[in-house]
Amino acid sequence: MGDNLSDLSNSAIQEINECSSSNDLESIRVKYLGKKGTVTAALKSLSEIDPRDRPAHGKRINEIKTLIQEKLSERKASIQKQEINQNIENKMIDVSLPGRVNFQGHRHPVTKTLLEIEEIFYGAGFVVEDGPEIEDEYHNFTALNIPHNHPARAMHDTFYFNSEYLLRTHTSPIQIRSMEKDGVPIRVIAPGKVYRRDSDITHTPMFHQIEGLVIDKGINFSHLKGILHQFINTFFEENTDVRFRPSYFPFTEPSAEVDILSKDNKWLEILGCGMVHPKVLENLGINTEIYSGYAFGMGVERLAMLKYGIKDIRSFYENDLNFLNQF
Amino acid sequence: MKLPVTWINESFKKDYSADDLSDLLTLSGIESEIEKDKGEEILDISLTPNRADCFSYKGIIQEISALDNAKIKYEDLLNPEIHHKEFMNVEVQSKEDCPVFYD
Repeated sequence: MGDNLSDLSNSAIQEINECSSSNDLESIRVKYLGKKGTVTAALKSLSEIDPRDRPAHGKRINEIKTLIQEKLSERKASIQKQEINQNIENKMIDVSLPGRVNFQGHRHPVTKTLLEIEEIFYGAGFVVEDGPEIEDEYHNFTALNIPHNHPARAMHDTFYFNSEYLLRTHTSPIQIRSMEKDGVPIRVIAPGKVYRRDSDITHTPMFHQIEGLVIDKGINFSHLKGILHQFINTFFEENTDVRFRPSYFPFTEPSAEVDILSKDNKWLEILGCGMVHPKVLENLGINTEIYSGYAFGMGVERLAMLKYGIKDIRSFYENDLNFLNQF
Repeated sequence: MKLPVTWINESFKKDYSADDLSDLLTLSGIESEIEKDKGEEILDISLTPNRADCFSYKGIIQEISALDNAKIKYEDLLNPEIHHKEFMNVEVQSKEDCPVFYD
Protein backbone atom coordinates (compact mmCIF):
# COMPACT_ATOMS: atom_id res chain seq x y z
CA MET A 1 0.00 0.00 0.00
CA GLY A 2 2.73 2.40 1.01
CA ASP A 3 4.56 1.69 -2.26
CA ASN A 4 1.40 2.37 -4.20
CA LEU A 5 1.10 5.74 -2.53
CA SER A 6 4.69 6.78 -3.24
CA ASP A 7 4.25 5.64 -6.86
CA LEU A 8 1.17 7.79 -7.01
CA SER A 9 2.96 10.86 -5.66
CA ASN A 10 6.02 10.26 -7.87
CA SER A 11 4.00 9.90 -11.07
CA ALA A 12 1.90 12.97 -10.16
CA ILE A 13 4.98 15.10 -9.57
CA GLN A 14 6.56 13.86 -12.78
CA GLU A 15 3.43 14.66 -14.80
CA ILE A 16 3.22 18.09 -13.22
CA ASN A 17 6.84 18.87 -14.08
CA GLU A 18 6.41 17.68 -17.67
CA CYS A 19 3.18 19.60 -18.17
CA SER A 20 3.51 22.78 -20.21
CA SER A 21 0.10 24.44 -20.39
CA SER A 22 -2.45 25.52 -17.83
CA ASN A 23 -5.12 23.41 -19.55
CA ASP A 24 -3.08 20.23 -19.14
CA LEU A 25 -2.34 21.20 -15.56
CA GLU A 26 -6.05 21.44 -14.86
CA SER A 27 -6.65 17.95 -16.25
CA ILE A 28 -3.83 16.61 -14.07
CA ARG A 29 -5.50 18.22 -11.06
CA VAL A 30 -8.79 16.52 -11.96
CA LYS A 31 -7.00 13.23 -12.52
CA TYR A 32 -5.49 13.16 -8.99
CA LEU A 33 -7.51 15.48 -6.81
CA GLY A 34 -10.89 15.67 -8.57
CA LYS A 35 -14.02 13.98 -7.24
CA LYS A 36 -13.11 10.80 -9.06
CA GLY A 37 -9.34 11.40 -8.81
CA THR A 38 -6.93 8.74 -7.61
CA VAL A 39 -5.95 10.55 -4.38
CA THR A 40 -9.58 11.13 -3.52
CA ALA A 41 -10.27 7.46 -4.23
CA ALA A 42 -7.42 6.48 -1.91
CA LEU A 43 -8.93 8.60 0.86
CA LYS A 44 -12.30 6.98 0.29
CA SER A 45 -10.81 3.53 0.46
CA LEU A 46 -9.47 4.22 4.03
CA SER A 47 -12.58 2.56 5.44
CA GLU A 48 -11.46 -0.74 3.94
CA ILE A 49 -8.13 -0.64 5.79
CA ASP A 50 -7.38 -2.12 9.16
CA PRO A 51 -8.57 0.50 11.74
CA ARG A 52 -5.14 0.41 13.46
CA ASP A 53 -3.33 1.45 10.31
CA ARG A 54 -5.87 4.09 9.39
CA PRO A 55 -4.39 7.19 11.12
CA ALA A 56 -0.89 6.65 9.71
CA HIS A 57 -2.22 5.83 6.29
CA GLY A 58 -4.61 8.78 6.26
CA LYS A 59 -1.81 11.09 7.31
CA ARG A 60 0.36 9.81 4.47
CA ILE A 61 -2.41 10.38 1.87
CA ASN A 62 -3.04 13.90 3.15
CA GLU A 63 0.66 14.66 2.93
CA ILE A 64 0.67 13.47 -0.70
CA LYS A 65 -2.41 15.54 -1.38
CA THR A 66 -0.83 18.69 0.06
CA LEU A 67 2.39 17.96 -1.83
CA ILE A 68 0.52 17.60 -5.15
CA GLN A 69 -1.43 20.79 -4.44
CA GLU A 70 1.75 22.72 -3.71
CA LYS A 71 3.47 21.39 -6.82
CA LEU A 72 0.39 22.21 -8.88
CA SER A 73 0.20 25.82 -7.76
CA GLU A 74 3.98 26.24 -8.15
CA ARG A 75 3.84 24.84 -11.67
CA LYS A 76 0.72 26.90 -12.43
CA ALA A 77 2.48 30.11 -11.46
CA SER A 78 5.51 29.33 -13.59
CA ILE A 79 3.39 28.28 -16.60
CA GLN A 80 1.32 31.48 -16.35
CA LYS A 81 4.45 33.57 -16.20
CA GLN A 82 5.78 31.74 -19.23
CA GLU A 83 2.52 32.20 -21.10
CA ILE A 84 2.44 35.91 -20.35
CA ASN A 85 6.01 36.31 -21.56
CA GLN A 86 5.18 34.38 -24.70
CA ASN A 87 2.08 36.51 -25.27
CA ILE A 88 4.08 39.68 -24.92
CA GLU A 89 6.65 38.42 -27.34
CA ASN A 90 4.10 37.26 -29.94
CA LYS A 91 1.82 40.24 -29.78
CA MET A 92 4.50 42.84 -29.55
CA ILE A 93 3.55 46.13 -31.17
CA ASP A 94 5.98 47.58 -33.65
CA VAL A 95 5.97 51.16 -32.43
CA SER A 96 7.81 52.29 -35.55
CA LEU A 97 4.76 51.45 -37.74
CA PRO A 98 2.72 54.42 -38.97
CA GLY A 99 -0.44 55.04 -36.95
CA ARG A 100 -3.90 54.06 -38.17
CA VAL A 101 -5.59 57.07 -39.72
CA ASN A 102 -9.24 57.72 -38.91
CA PHE A 103 -11.58 57.16 -41.87
CA GLN A 104 -12.30 60.50 -43.41
CA GLY A 105 -15.31 61.03 -45.67
CA HIS A 106 -15.35 63.33 -48.64
CA ARG A 107 -17.85 65.17 -50.77
CA HIS A 108 -20.06 63.41 -53.29
CA PRO A 109 -18.92 64.19 -56.87
CA VAL A 110 -22.20 66.03 -57.56
CA THR A 111 -21.81 68.22 -54.48
CA LYS A 112 -18.19 68.81 -55.39
CA THR A 113 -19.10 69.95 -58.91
CA LEU A 114 -21.95 72.08 -57.57
CA LEU A 115 -19.62 73.89 -55.18
CA GLU A 116 -17.02 74.36 -57.91
CA ILE A 117 -19.60 75.99 -60.18
CA GLU A 118 -20.92 78.15 -57.32
CA GLU A 119 -17.41 79.33 -56.56
CA ILE A 120 -16.75 80.38 -60.15
CA PHE A 121 -19.91 82.50 -60.26
CA TYR A 122 -19.40 83.74 -56.73
CA GLY A 123 -16.13 85.21 -58.01
CA ALA A 124 -18.07 86.98 -60.77
CA GLY A 125 -20.30 88.76 -58.24
CA PHE A 126 -23.29 86.41 -58.21
CA VAL A 127 -25.34 85.82 -55.07
CA VAL A 128 -26.44 82.26 -54.26
CA GLU A 129 -30.22 81.92 -53.82
CA ASP A 130 -32.39 79.00 -52.75
CA GLY A 131 -36.01 78.03 -53.22
CA PRO A 132 -38.53 75.32 -52.29
CA GLU A 133 -38.48 71.96 -54.06
CA ILE A 134 -42.26 71.70 -53.83
CA GLU A 135 -43.36 74.51 -56.11
CA ASP A 136 -46.69 75.89 -57.10
CA GLU A 137 -47.76 75.75 -60.68
CA TYR A 138 -47.58 79.54 -60.99
CA HIS A 139 -43.86 79.82 -60.22
CA ASN A 140 -42.86 76.69 -62.10
CA PHE A 141 -44.80 77.42 -65.29
CA THR A 142 -47.17 80.36 -65.57
CA ALA A 143 -44.78 83.07 -64.36
CA LEU A 144 -42.17 81.72 -66.79
CA ASN A 145 -44.40 82.37 -69.79
CA ILE A 146 -45.66 78.78 -69.95
CA PRO A 147 -49.45 79.19 -69.62
CA HIS A 148 -51.85 76.29 -69.06
CA ASN A 149 -52.26 75.16 -72.64
CA HIS A 150 -48.65 75.79 -73.72
CA PRO A 151 -47.04 72.86 -75.55
CA ALA A 152 -43.76 73.47 -73.66
CA ARG A 153 -45.38 71.91 -70.58
CA ALA A 154 -44.96 68.63 -72.42
CA MET A 155 -41.16 69.16 -72.51
CA HIS A 156 -41.15 68.60 -68.74
CA ASP A 157 -42.39 65.29 -67.39
CA THR A 158 -43.77 66.75 -64.22
CA PHE A 159 -44.55 65.06 -60.89
CA TYR A 160 -47.81 66.66 -59.83
CA PHE A 161 -49.22 66.49 -56.29
CA ASN A 162 -52.50 68.06 -57.37
CA SER A 163 -53.54 70.67 -59.86
CA GLU A 164 -51.70 73.37 -57.90
CA TYR A 165 -48.55 71.85 -56.42
CA LEU A 166 -45.74 69.89 -58.06
CA LEU A 167 -42.08 69.00 -57.68
CA ARG A 168 -40.15 71.70 -59.49
CA THR A 169 -39.00 70.63 -62.95
CA HIS A 170 -36.28 73.26 -63.17
CA THR A 171 -34.59 75.81 -60.91
CA SER A 172 -36.06 78.71 -62.89
CA PRO A 173 -38.82 79.36 -60.31
CA ILE A 174 -36.05 80.62 -58.02
CA GLN A 175 -35.47 83.42 -60.59
CA ILE A 176 -39.05 84.55 -60.13
CA ARG A 177 -38.89 84.25 -56.35
CA SER A 178 -35.67 86.24 -56.06
CA MET A 179 -37.00 88.98 -58.36
CA GLU A 180 -40.21 89.09 -56.28
CA LYS A 181 -38.10 89.38 -53.13
CA ASP A 182 -35.28 91.72 -54.13
CA GLY A 183 -36.50 93.40 -57.31
CA VAL A 184 -34.02 94.56 -59.94
CA PRO A 185 -31.11 94.95 -60.64
CA ILE A 186 -30.27 91.39 -59.67
CA ARG A 187 -27.41 88.93 -60.17
CA VAL A 188 -28.08 85.46 -58.71
CA ILE A 189 -27.33 81.83 -59.21
CA ALA A 190 -29.72 79.22 -57.89
CA PRO A 191 -28.48 75.66 -57.40
CA GLY A 192 -30.83 72.86 -56.44
CA LYS A 193 -32.52 69.52 -56.98
CA VAL A 194 -35.13 69.20 -59.71
CA TYR A 195 -37.47 66.34 -60.57
CA ARG A 196 -38.71 64.86 -63.84
CA ARG A 197 -40.40 61.59 -64.71
CA ASP A 198 -37.58 60.14 -66.73
CA SER A 199 -35.03 57.41 -66.10
CA ASP A 200 -32.40 55.98 -68.44
CA ILE A 201 -28.64 56.12 -69.07
CA THR A 202 -28.65 59.94 -69.31
CA HIS A 203 -31.67 60.77 -67.12
CA THR A 204 -32.55 60.25 -63.46
CA PRO A 205 -35.88 61.24 -61.86
CA MET A 206 -33.99 63.64 -59.57
CA PHE A 207 -31.03 65.67 -60.72
CA HIS A 208 -29.31 68.97 -60.00
CA GLN A 209 -29.43 72.22 -61.89
CA ILE A 210 -27.81 75.59 -61.51
CA GLU A 211 -29.68 78.57 -62.80
CA GLY A 212 -28.18 81.99 -63.35
CA LEU A 213 -30.00 85.28 -63.77
CA VAL A 214 -28.79 88.80 -64.37
CA ILE A 215 -31.17 91.73 -64.79
CA ASP A 216 -29.82 95.23 -65.12
CA LYS A 217 -29.81 98.30 -67.34
CA GLY A 218 -28.30 97.64 -70.76
CA ILE A 219 -27.62 93.92 -70.44
CA ASN A 220 -27.27 92.24 -73.81
CA PHE A 221 -26.37 88.92 -75.39
CA SER A 222 -22.63 89.67 -75.47
CA HIS A 223 -22.62 89.83 -71.67
CA LEU A 224 -24.14 86.36 -71.65
CA LYS A 225 -21.59 85.01 -74.13
CA GLY A 226 -18.77 86.56 -72.15
CA ILE A 227 -19.73 85.10 -68.80
CA LEU A 228 -20.41 81.63 -70.23
CA HIS A 229 -17.12 81.51 -72.15
CA GLN A 230 -15.33 82.48 -68.98
CA PHE A 231 -17.24 79.94 -66.93
CA ILE A 232 -16.64 77.04 -69.34
CA ASN A 233 -12.93 77.72 -69.61
CA THR A 234 -12.59 77.99 -65.84
CA PHE A 235 -14.66 74.91 -65.13
CA PHE A 236 -12.96 72.59 -67.63
CA GLU A 237 -9.56 74.13 -66.81
CA GLU A 238 -8.62 74.51 -70.46
CA ASN A 239 -9.53 76.55 -73.51
CA THR A 240 -12.62 74.82 -74.85
CA ASP A 241 -14.26 75.40 -78.23
CA VAL A 242 -17.77 76.64 -77.60
CA ARG A 243 -20.68 77.20 -79.95
CA PHE A 244 -24.03 78.86 -79.36
CA ARG A 245 -26.85 77.12 -81.19
CA PRO A 246 -30.31 78.69 -81.54
CA SER A 247 -32.98 76.94 -79.52
CA TYR A 248 -36.24 77.66 -77.80
CA PHE A 249 -37.28 78.19 -74.20
CA PRO A 250 -40.58 79.89 -73.41
CA PHE A 251 -38.96 82.22 -70.85
CA THR A 252 -36.09 83.48 -72.99
CA GLU A 253 -35.97 85.21 -76.35
CA PRO A 254 -33.69 84.71 -78.19
CA SER A 255 -32.73 81.34 -76.71
CA ALA A 256 -29.61 79.34 -77.30
CA GLU A 257 -28.05 76.07 -76.30
CA VAL A 258 -24.35 75.92 -75.68
CA ASP A 259 -22.22 73.07 -77.02
CA ILE A 260 -18.59 72.30 -76.32
CA LEU A 261 -16.27 70.39 -78.63
CA SER A 262 -15.31 67.09 -77.05
CA LYS A 263 -11.96 65.34 -77.44
CA ASP A 264 -13.35 63.08 -80.19
CA ASN A 265 -14.50 66.14 -82.17
CA LYS A 266 -18.19 65.95 -81.31
CA TRP A 267 -20.36 68.82 -80.13
CA LEU A 268 -21.85 68.11 -76.72
CA GLU A 269 -24.68 70.16 -75.33
CA ILE A 270 -23.95 71.46 -71.85
CA LEU A 271 -26.38 74.26 -71.07
CA GLY A 272 -29.28 76.37 -72.20
CA CYS A 273 -29.46 80.13 -72.02
CA GLY A 274 -31.02 83.26 -73.49
CA MET A 275 -32.21 86.80 -72.93
CA VAL A 276 -35.07 86.87 -70.41
CA HIS A 277 -38.40 87.10 -72.24
CA PRO A 278 -40.01 90.53 -71.75
CA LYS A 279 -43.25 88.82 -70.73
CA VAL A 280 -41.55 87.24 -67.72
CA LEU A 281 -40.33 90.67 -66.59
CA GLU A 282 -43.70 92.30 -67.30
CA ASN A 283 -45.42 89.64 -65.16
CA LEU A 284 -43.29 90.90 -62.28
CA GLY A 285 -43.99 94.56 -63.03
CA ILE A 286 -40.47 95.33 -64.27
CA ASN A 287 -40.15 98.03 -66.92
CA THR A 288 -38.70 96.27 -69.96
CA GLU A 289 -37.85 99.61 -71.59
CA ILE A 290 -35.22 100.15 -68.90
CA TYR A 291 -34.22 96.67 -67.76
CA SER A 292 -33.14 93.63 -69.68
CA GLY A 293 -31.32 90.51 -68.63
CA TYR A 294 -30.05 87.07 -69.38
CA ALA A 295 -30.57 83.68 -67.81
CA PHE A 296 -28.84 80.34 -68.14
CA GLY A 297 -29.34 76.89 -66.69
CA MET A 298 -27.17 73.82 -66.61
CA GLY A 299 -27.34 70.23 -65.42
CA VAL A 300 -24.74 69.60 -62.72
CA GLU A 301 -24.56 65.81 -63.31
CA ARG A 302 -24.00 66.40 -67.01
CA LEU A 303 -21.10 68.77 -66.34
CA ALA A 304 -19.61 66.33 -63.82
CA MET A 305 -19.93 63.49 -66.36
CA LEU A 306 -18.11 65.54 -68.99
CA LYS A 307 -15.42 66.72 -66.62
CA TYR A 308 -14.67 63.31 -65.10
CA GLY A 309 -15.56 61.12 -68.12
CA ILE A 310 -18.46 59.25 -66.47
CA LYS A 311 -20.62 57.24 -68.88
CA ASP A 312 -23.77 56.47 -66.88
CA ILE A 313 -25.56 59.19 -64.90
CA ARG A 314 -27.09 56.56 -62.60
CA SER A 315 -23.69 55.70 -61.11
CA PHE A 316 -23.95 58.97 -59.10
CA TYR A 317 -26.87 57.51 -57.13
CA GLU A 318 -25.87 53.86 -56.69
CA ASN A 319 -23.69 54.65 -53.64
CA ASP A 320 -20.98 52.31 -54.89
CA LEU A 321 -17.94 53.11 -52.73
CA ASN A 322 -15.53 51.90 -55.42
CA PHE A 323 -16.96 54.63 -57.65
CA LEU A 324 -17.26 57.37 -55.02
CA ASN A 325 -13.75 56.82 -53.67
CA GLN A 326 -12.29 57.90 -57.00
CA PHE A 327 -13.21 61.50 -56.34
CA MET B 1 -39.58 62.69 -86.05
CA LYS B 2 -37.58 60.55 -88.46
CA LEU B 3 -36.98 61.36 -92.11
CA PRO B 4 -34.77 59.37 -94.51
CA VAL B 5 -32.19 61.57 -96.23
CA THR B 6 -33.12 60.10 -99.63
CA TRP B 7 -36.71 61.33 -99.18
CA ILE B 8 -35.50 64.83 -98.48
CA ASN B 9 -33.20 64.78 -101.50
CA GLU B 10 -36.10 63.79 -103.76
CA SER B 11 -37.42 67.31 -103.36
CA PHE B 12 -34.25 69.15 -104.32
CA LYS B 13 -32.12 69.39 -107.44
CA LYS B 14 -29.04 69.35 -105.24
CA ASP B 15 -28.01 66.19 -103.35
CA TYR B 16 -27.52 66.94 -99.67
CA SER B 17 -25.39 64.70 -97.54
CA ALA B 18 -26.74 63.67 -94.15
CA ASP B 19 -24.07 65.78 -92.42
CA ASP B 20 -25.00 68.88 -94.46
CA LEU B 21 -28.66 68.54 -93.57
CA SER B 22 -27.99 67.80 -89.93
CA ASP B 23 -25.72 70.85 -89.58
CA LEU B 24 -28.07 73.10 -91.53
CA LEU B 25 -31.06 72.21 -89.37
CA THR B 26 -29.25 71.96 -86.05
CA LEU B 27 -27.61 75.35 -86.41
CA SER B 28 -30.94 76.95 -87.22
CA GLY B 29 -32.53 75.66 -84.04
CA ILE B 30 -33.98 72.34 -85.18
CA GLU B 31 -31.90 69.71 -83.43
CA SER B 32 -31.26 66.71 -85.65
CA GLU B 33 -29.10 63.64 -85.39
CA ILE B 34 -28.07 61.10 -88.00
CA GLU B 35 -29.21 57.52 -87.47
CA LYS B 36 -28.39 54.56 -89.64
CA ASP B 37 -30.95 51.85 -90.29
CA LYS B 38 -30.24 49.00 -92.75
CA GLY B 39 -27.65 51.10 -94.58
CA GLU B 40 -30.01 54.04 -94.91
CA GLU B 41 -29.24 57.39 -93.34
CA ILE B 42 -32.14 58.81 -91.38
CA LEU B 43 -32.44 62.23 -89.75
CA ASP B 44 -33.88 62.08 -86.25
CA ILE B 45 -35.36 65.52 -85.72
CA SER B 46 -36.39 66.77 -82.27
CA LEU B 47 -38.50 69.89 -82.47
CA THR B 48 -38.96 72.60 -79.90
CA PRO B 49 -42.60 73.48 -79.13
CA ASN B 50 -42.43 76.74 -81.10
CA ARG B 51 -41.84 74.98 -84.40
CA ALA B 52 -45.03 73.03 -85.01
CA ASP B 53 -44.82 74.17 -88.64
CA CYS B 54 -41.88 71.78 -89.10
CA PHE B 55 -43.73 68.82 -87.72
CA SER B 56 -44.09 67.20 -91.17
CA TYR B 57 -42.14 66.23 -94.25
CA LYS B 58 -43.53 69.29 -95.99
CA GLY B 59 -42.50 71.55 -93.13
CA ILE B 60 -38.92 70.29 -93.06
CA ILE B 61 -38.61 70.60 -96.88
CA GLN B 62 -39.84 74.19 -96.70
CA GLU B 63 -37.44 74.93 -93.85
CA ILE B 64 -34.43 73.55 -95.75
CA SER B 65 -35.52 75.44 -98.85
CA ALA B 66 -35.69 78.67 -96.88
CA LEU B 67 -32.40 78.08 -95.04
CA ASP B 68 -30.33 77.15 -98.07
CA ASN B 69 -32.24 79.24 -100.61
CA ALA B 70 -32.84 76.00 -102.53
CA LYS B 71 -35.69 75.58 -104.96
CA ILE B 72 -38.10 72.75 -104.22
CA LYS B 73 -38.25 70.38 -107.18
CA TYR B 74 -41.83 69.26 -106.95
CA GLU B 75 -43.57 72.38 -105.76
CA ASP B 76 -46.87 70.80 -106.75
CA LEU B 77 -46.23 67.93 -104.36
CA LEU B 78 -46.46 70.37 -101.52
CA ASN B 79 -49.66 71.90 -102.84
CA PRO B 80 -51.49 68.90 -104.25
CA GLU B 81 -54.29 69.35 -106.72
CA ILE B 82 -57.72 68.37 -105.53
CA HIS B 83 -59.13 65.60 -107.68
CA HIS B 84 -62.44 64.77 -106.10
CA LYS B 85 -65.52 66.73 -106.95
CA GLU B 86 -67.68 66.13 -103.91
CA PHE B 87 -67.83 69.05 -101.60
CA MET B 88 -69.79 69.66 -98.48
CA ASN B 89 -71.41 72.94 -97.75
CA VAL B 90 -70.52 74.32 -94.36
CA GLU B 91 -72.53 77.07 -92.88
CA VAL B 92 -71.25 78.91 -89.84
CA GLN B 93 -74.26 79.39 -87.63
CA SER B 94 -72.53 80.93 -84.66
CA LYS B 95 -69.90 83.52 -85.47
CA GLU B 96 -69.07 83.71 -81.79
CA ASP B 97 -68.04 80.05 -81.44
CA CYS B 98 -66.32 79.90 -84.83
CA PRO B 99 -65.03 83.33 -85.70
CA VAL B 100 -62.93 82.19 -88.68
CA PHE B 101 -63.58 79.42 -91.18
CA TYR B 102 -61.57 78.79 -94.34
CA ASP B 103 -63.07 76.65 -97.03
